[in-house]
Amino acid sequence: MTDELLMMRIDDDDFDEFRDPLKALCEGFPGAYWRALEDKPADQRYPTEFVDALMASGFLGALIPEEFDGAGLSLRIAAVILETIHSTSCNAGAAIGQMYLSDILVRHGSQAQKQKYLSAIAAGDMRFLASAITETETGDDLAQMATKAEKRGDVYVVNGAKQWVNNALHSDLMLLLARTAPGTADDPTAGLTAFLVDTKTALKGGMSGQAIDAMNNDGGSDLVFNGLELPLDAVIGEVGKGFEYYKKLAQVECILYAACASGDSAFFSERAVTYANERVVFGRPIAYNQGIQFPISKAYVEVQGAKLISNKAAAVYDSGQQPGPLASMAKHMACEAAWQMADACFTTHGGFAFAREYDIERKWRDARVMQMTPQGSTTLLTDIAVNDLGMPQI
Amino acid sequence: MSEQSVEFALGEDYPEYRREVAKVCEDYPPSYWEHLENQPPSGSYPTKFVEALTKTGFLSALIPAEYGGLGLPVRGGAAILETIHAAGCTAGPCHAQMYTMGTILRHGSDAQKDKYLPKIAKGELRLQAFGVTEPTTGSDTTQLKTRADKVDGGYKINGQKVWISRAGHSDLMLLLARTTPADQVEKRAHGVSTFLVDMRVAKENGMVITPIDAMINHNTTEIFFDDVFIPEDSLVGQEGRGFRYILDGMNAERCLVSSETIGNGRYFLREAIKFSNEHKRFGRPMSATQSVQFSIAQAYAQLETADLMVRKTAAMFAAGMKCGAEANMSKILSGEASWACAQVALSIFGEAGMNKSSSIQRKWREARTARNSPISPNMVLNFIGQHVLGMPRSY
Repeated sequence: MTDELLMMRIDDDDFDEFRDPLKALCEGFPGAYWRALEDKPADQRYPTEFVDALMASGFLGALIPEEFDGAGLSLRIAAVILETIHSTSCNAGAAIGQMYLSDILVRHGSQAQKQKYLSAIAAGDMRFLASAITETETGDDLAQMATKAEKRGDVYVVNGAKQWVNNALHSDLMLLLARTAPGTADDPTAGLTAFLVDTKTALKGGMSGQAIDAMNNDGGSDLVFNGLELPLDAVIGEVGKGFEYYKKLAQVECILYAACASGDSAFFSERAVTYANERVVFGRPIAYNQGIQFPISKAYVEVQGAKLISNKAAAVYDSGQQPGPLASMAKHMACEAAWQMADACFTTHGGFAFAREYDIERKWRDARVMQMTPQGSTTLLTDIAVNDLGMPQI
Repeated sequence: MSEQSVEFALGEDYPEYRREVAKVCEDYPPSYWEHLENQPPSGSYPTKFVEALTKTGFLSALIPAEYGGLGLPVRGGAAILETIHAAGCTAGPCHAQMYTMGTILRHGSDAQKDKYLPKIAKGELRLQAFGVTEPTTGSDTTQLKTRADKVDGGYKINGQKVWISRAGHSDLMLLLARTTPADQVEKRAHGVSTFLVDMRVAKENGMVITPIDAMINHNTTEIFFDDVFIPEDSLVGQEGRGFRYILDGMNAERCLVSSETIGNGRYFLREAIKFSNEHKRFGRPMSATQSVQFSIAQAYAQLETADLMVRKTAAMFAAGMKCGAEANMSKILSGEASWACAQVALSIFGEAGMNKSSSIQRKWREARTARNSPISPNMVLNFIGQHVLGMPRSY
């Protein structure tokens, strides 16, 4: 009976063989490195050296199958890699796309696309870091997106604009979702098509981009498409199926971002406990005060729970099934827990929480933003309510 | 067993036990429980339900087969209790029959095991009462004041216990009492002993049980001991080591009651989703609003998370690993999750849920109580802060 059920291992701090070298790599990029980037203008904040080091490490090719020279590892291990990066002063946002965007090529790409790109992505020679989905006017309502790709002869001509496209100006390849046909009454998301864009070429003509000055350094940019021509073989999979592909990709994305949140939680809890134990006020370490200790302990409990549901989502994915709304649950719970721990850490540090040299305020800003991106809690809760619990689509 | 190889099952484990339990529960609809609540404390025990459950043998789930039990791991018991609560019933009046025997099983003598376990497994002997908490010391268990003084052939018990559930419906009680005065022991946890008290005899010898009228129908009592003699062979394990024995059993208990709490959560969600999908307000189903959807989805995500922690704890317990942190985390996560489910269900049902004939309000009261007992969430946070995160003892 129970033999038929999926089994999950109890351990969540395993895979030291991945964690240890990554921690060593991240030590080379301490808080001072990230703070210095934030002092620069918006278009110069990209952590080039950090991303170069990660690309060279080979870790980002974890999910690419071995037949395309990737490591062919499980999503669980990919999650461990990101969790480890985020447990340090570092943030994987500038490089995370390299790990999972190629999943859409593995699943739906043509043989030619796979041969051309996957090995190069696995080796880090080609960067696939950006996905252009969201638009200014329509936000999460993807069915209403206005960017169009019109077939004219042997090219698609793209016109429109995308917003919050992270790392677009630092990537060789970009996933673009654009409308090739109107949606139907039954399915307003029909008619969206996925394209693989060569960004370096596109930036020379037809596409322009500008870095967004935001409260955190996540490399967001605005893109404008003005007659960008894409060859026919830029289409990924079937024309008109882009939304379906993107939904599958988003599940992987959710599980990986949950791992980033889990890493942030580890960073905050370690910092919070250390500071609470060392900081003496009123004649004793502040950790003696339940007002300090309980929020940290409570957040820790939430974090441990979130790790389990994240691991469950990865286990389901690794067993060959689609995790569906379970991936939404993982991301939602992990980001909520990370925010709780971030805020407990912030409170624990008192005035020093605002002092940039502690890195608390920087990671705290990141944790807050991660609750909203790439998929916000409202989107995730709606997915759970509608697709798992059978409540109506509003 | 190495840590690497310990796993737990996802999804509906122990399906045939769940099915059988659910079938028994069908005969005990909300009206049965409502009727009991309208009785005075002395008449509110769900005798028929407990008898039916006893007949199935499910309450012997954790007793090894050699003593006549089902010999299931803790997770098996957890699945049974979760199912009872998800069906709208309440296992509180009898769940202790499942786990209180663990102290005898792990620390009792062979003679005690042979004498008691087969009868407990059959339901001929009820071991449902667990005498730990006292009115003046609460969670500060090691400071308990009930004394067991050595006398010829046994011990004399003097003192008082409170919140001792099911004492009026149990033949035996596991009792924690001090055998060496607190000022004569090295560590505060020392000098406390565990006894298996035959309450049928003790009631004739100075033990008085008084029911407590409480917010939920939990058949809980206050117990007074006035020179109650118990024979020497009532002692379980070594004298003075009782606190440790009790702690050992608490992880299993927390795992099991957390499962009940999760069962309650499942009950609330099922009812809330059904009600909000079926009832229209402002021209559309109540569930077609984000305030309803998000509250339910949030509570559900919490419940699914808590469920995994319970499964993890059970797997660790079964593997003989230290699982105090996980058991405590199960307790707090399930309590918070179930309460979120309870709140959203009561809000969605509105007056229909507040009516005494509705199980929503009854389960809602249960859900709130489950956050306070059997361990205070503050003590859980103390444990995590001190023993997991390495912060100082704050109390």
